[in-house]
Amino acid sequence: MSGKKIWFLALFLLAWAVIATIATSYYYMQYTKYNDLYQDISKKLGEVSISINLAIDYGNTTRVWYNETVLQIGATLYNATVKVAKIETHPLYPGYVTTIDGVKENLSEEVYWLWWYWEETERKWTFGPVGFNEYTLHDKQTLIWYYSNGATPP
Amino acid sequence: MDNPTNLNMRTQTFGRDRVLPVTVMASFIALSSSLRLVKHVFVGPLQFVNFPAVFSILGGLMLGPAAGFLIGSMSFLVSDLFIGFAGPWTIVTSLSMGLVGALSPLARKVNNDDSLLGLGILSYLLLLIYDVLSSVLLLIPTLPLHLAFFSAIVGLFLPSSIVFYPVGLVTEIVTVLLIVLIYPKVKTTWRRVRL
Repeated sequence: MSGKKIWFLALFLLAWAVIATIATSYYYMQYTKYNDLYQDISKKLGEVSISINLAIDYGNTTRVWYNETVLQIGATLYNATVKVAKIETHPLYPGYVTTIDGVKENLSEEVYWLWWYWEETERKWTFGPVGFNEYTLHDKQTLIWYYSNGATPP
Repeated sequence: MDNPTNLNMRTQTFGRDRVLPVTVMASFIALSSSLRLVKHVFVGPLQFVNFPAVFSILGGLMLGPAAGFLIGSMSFLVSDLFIGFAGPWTIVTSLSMGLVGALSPLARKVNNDDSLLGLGILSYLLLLIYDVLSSVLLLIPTLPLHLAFFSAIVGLFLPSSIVFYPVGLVTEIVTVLLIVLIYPKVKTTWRRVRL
């Protein structure tokens, strides 16, 4: 290869290196900027919100998890459920769910929508003690809607 | 035994050989400082050409690494004092430019056939080293090394809300063009003077 060709090749490689470095630096700086903003907003959000894990078990071995669902402090299971699913409640008892995502309770077969929460200290599922609209959630809690007769835990 | 005429000629040649590089070095320092000052008077801090780099690289090519280092470092030191812009950054910029001047003789070794394209590419590399090195060193007190490096690259090569044009790129290209334009004339003049 002649001397001139080598210098043109060097020029091309140099331009490539410079452009690649500029692009890398630009995207790295953008990443740093938005990551800082994200961390900042996450921190601020953490001061006014909670994060829970909620599952919906449709009884046909389909169990969908909604992990790290963010809710405001003081939110109830009602707030969490309507955030992840379409529900219908009993006309007379607003704390009682009859349908989730089109799956309706079946009174003749005795299958209902019941909710449970994970008891961290005893390491077991515990039956929801009150109506879902009265149960105040706390941070890092794990809960499940289980389509069953309630005889066995999820 | 030497006759007195030969001895006199040798002394004169010896003296000339020592005085010539010092004179050229001093002229280059004076030229780059005064041109930088003139540029500052007319356009203020707007940056589009690096005069000290032109003379450091040319001086290094003609006179060797020590002269290149002296021209580079002294040009920035003197011109910063003249402009009234001297500060801790002067140490960084003058030493970085000194390094560029000291490295410039390598360009002659790499560029055997003395091609202008080769000179342009190697000068650009030297300017790139100067720009990145001085920017990183100036940013290091406030940023971690990797962020200082990336910030320096973005600041040099991309327009921003503060500087509406890629200041580093423009300066490097204009400076390289100046070097490539001046070099042939300087080279022939230098050869003639040395003979």
